[in-house]
Amino acid sequence: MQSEFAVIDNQFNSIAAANGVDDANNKIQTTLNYFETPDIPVLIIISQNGGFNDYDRPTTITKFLNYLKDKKAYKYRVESAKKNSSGKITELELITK
Amino acid sequence: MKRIALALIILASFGVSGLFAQELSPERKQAIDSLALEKVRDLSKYISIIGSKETPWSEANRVIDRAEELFMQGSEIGVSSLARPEISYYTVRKYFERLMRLNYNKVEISWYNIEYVSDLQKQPDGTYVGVITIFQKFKGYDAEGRLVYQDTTKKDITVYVKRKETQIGGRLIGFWDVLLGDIRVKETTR
Repeated sequence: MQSEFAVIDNQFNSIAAANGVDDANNKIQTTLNYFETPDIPVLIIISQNGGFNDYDRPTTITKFLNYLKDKKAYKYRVESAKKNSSGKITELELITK
Repeated sequence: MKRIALALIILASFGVSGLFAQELSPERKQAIDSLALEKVRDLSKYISIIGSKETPWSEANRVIDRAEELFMQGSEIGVSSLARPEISYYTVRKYFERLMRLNYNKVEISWYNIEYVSDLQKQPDGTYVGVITIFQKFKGYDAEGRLVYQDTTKKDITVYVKRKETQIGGRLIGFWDVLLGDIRVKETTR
């Protein structure tokens, strides 16, 4: 069964697998359309224990997308997303695979 | 009066045991161990991008900013060469700017055998401190594509992991902040 966030996960994977810097930058611009602003917060869960989450240092969606471009790997999946009335994501939570 | 004193002693004892109860479970400790290792791998990638002559100027500068965010303020990075015995230490920004301007036509930098040489240990202020060792292979080529310099350097990186909190969307989020400290050269070989 596909996750409700499969579209976002696929976008992130496509940036990580981009064919060079220009291709990655074009994909980043396309992906940013899913988000309310380029600065929405991204939280990354590094472990879960008894309903308690441990997070990495919070980042922004622009920094995170550039991180995927630099690392050429997407080792997370979307855990949750908050959206505004226009359906744009205002806060994203990822979890380490 | 004696009963009140006894009650206070018992309460204090529970307070102390409560502190010990805050020690990390093996699973959470493993997660922050992995997080710190991943930050060092991030740095490895950033160094490779900044050093590469194929990286556009604007991209290299953006990556320098990201790489700088990995470090504690005031940290230094050691640089060695087979051509001279001394080791030079530069501030993080200066190191990356020198790396970007190295006088070769092509530069290849790779890190391998990234592992803990000293496990993360909790300090009295709650910060976890450890040392990660890496091996760096450096290759510099001239305009004709000839390999004109190469070395392998073993380096030790001090890592600091501290629990912090920040407000996001009206919620208090606790997170583990990993910061890299000094990078010390241990040995340089051909």
